[in-house]
Amino acid sequence: MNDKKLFWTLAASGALVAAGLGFGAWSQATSVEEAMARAAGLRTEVQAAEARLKKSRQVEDEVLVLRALSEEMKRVLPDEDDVNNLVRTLNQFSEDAKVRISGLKKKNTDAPNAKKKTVDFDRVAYTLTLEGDTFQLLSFLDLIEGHSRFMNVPVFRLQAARREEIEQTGDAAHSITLDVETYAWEPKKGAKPVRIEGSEAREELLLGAIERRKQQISVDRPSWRGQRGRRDPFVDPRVPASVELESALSVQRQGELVTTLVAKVAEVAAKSQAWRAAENVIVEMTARADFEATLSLLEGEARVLEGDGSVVYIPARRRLQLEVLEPLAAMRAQLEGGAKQRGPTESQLKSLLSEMEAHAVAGRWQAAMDSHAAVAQRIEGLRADPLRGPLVQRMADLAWEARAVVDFDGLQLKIGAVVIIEGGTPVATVNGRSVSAGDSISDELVVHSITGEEVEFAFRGVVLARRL
Amino acid sequence: MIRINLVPAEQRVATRSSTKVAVAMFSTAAVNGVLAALWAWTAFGDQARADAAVADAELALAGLRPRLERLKALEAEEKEHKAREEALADIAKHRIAWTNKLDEFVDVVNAGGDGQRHLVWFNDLSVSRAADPRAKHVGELKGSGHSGSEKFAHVANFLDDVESSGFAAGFLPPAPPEGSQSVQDAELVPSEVWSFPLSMKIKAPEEAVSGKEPAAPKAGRKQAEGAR
Repeated sequence: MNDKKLFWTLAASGALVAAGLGFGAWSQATSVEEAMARAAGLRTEVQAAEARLKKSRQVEDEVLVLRALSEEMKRVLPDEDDVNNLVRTLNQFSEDAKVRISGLKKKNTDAPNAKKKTVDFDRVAYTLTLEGDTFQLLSFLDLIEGHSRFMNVPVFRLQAARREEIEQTGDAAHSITLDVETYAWEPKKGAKPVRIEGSEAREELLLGAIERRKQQISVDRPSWRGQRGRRDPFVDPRVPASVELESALSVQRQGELVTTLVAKVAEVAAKSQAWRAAENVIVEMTARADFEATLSLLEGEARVLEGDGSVVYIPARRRLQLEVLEPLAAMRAQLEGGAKQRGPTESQLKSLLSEMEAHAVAGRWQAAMDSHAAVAQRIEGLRADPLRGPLVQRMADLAWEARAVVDFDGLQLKIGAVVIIEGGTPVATVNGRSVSAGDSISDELVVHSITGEEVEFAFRGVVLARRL
Repeated sequence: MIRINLVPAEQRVATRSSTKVAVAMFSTAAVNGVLAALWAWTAFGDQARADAAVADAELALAGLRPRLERLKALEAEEKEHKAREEALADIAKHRIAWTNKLDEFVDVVNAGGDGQRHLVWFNDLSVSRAADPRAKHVGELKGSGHSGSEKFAHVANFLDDVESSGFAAGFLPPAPPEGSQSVQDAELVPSEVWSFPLSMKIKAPEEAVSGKEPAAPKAGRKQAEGAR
């Protein structure tokens, strides 16, 4: 090979080798650059993760607060429809508020042509048809809107009762239709709650935040305070143009007067109940007397109100009639119907007599007298009764004996020496005077007998002893 | 000294290369040597350092991964709880407590003083909701009212009281007063009655929150009371 060929051969091979080495170096450098870039990217990720992890304590605190609120939230927005319980609750509310539910229909809450649901809760709604006056409706709404489970009344319609119906029945039974809706949450099936170290101690530190959040999630409760003497806005307040029914009192004042009497009727009814439920004769007699006295007073007040023409507003007049006058008349009839029997029954008298005898046996003479005194006036007229007469007599005798014992105990009798001579008449000194059997100490007190242990006296027909 | 090569020409061995060939050879060797050195430097120096940096970063990231997973689970739990809380807030925002509203309505009706300012009662009352969520109002309250007075100004008095009461919060102002006189009933007192509609639109929750307080009693009230 000549030099020229050698030269070119060397040059070419050298160039090839150089190209290969150059490519290798270049690709190595490229690889190094890529690795460095990847390392930089990873360092950036690490920094971002560390920055994110710095907030983990805040997230833990927030989760602790939310867990503490979860029970409260589940009560307001529960996981289940629980429709049956909802219906029972509405029924109970209607009884408590005294409205009459005549219709209950579940509403279809799916929107037509609804596509995939975008919210995580279901709406459950019912349409109710009911009757009641405005204040009964407000009581019902108060119960619904104040319930621990969130409930809402989005729409309603009230049609007032006609004037003629109110005049006839005394009730302003308006026709009401309303929707009641509530919601059920659909919880996601997530992982178990994450364990947080020292969660109990941290929850105590977060109590303030928890209470503030509870206030925020609590739903506003209504503040219904009752009718407070106001007139129903759906009742025609006009009064008949009759001269004798003119009244200077406002509708509100008329309502207040009737309401006061209605409350008193309830109190008297309670006393009537107590009378009829008395456990023994003494209590029954006392309760009856109390009931009769209160009834008489209230009847007087009602007569005055009815007679002076103060109440002319039709609903108030009807209420006075239905809730005051008629119940009073019924209670009076009940009282007088019982009085026709004229006093306690035979079994009641036997029971009372047993009580007195028990007091006597136990030496409780005053109690025996008190038991008789409580019924003495009522049973006096029964002496002629063939069945009850002997019992009345026995009770009177027992009371007499008790009275004698009590009075005898109060006598000042100073018994001195007693002298008993065999074959002779025993003698004792009483109040400094020598007496023997048969001697009288006073008009009612006679010495009955004298023994070595006691002196017996006859006092008002009862033999009583004083021990030495 | 004279040298004579007795070897035939075809068998003669070259005794030395030419200069060009030598330069080419050394140049090639030099260049290739540099390139090889460069490659080795890169491969064993820079690459090693780069790999070490990557390994360090990956190790650090792997160490943080369990804590990141835990944080992700906490955030998911937080999101679930907050979603329920926000849902409740959203539905509560749209609720009107009709117990309080109707209670205030009863107060307004009773504020007329049995006819001194107005004597008003209603045949009906209804609340409806707007079907179009883009509407400016979300519903309407309507009622058919009666004013027991020959003075139609009492209707204006009543509407004034409605606007200035707590009942008007959350509503747009009522429709202007209008009405007609009903047939007179001589058997009742008062005998003359004006019938009028009550119509009030319910504001959207956002508007209700940003809205003003109920209007103060208007200056023209005294004039309206006596006017026919």
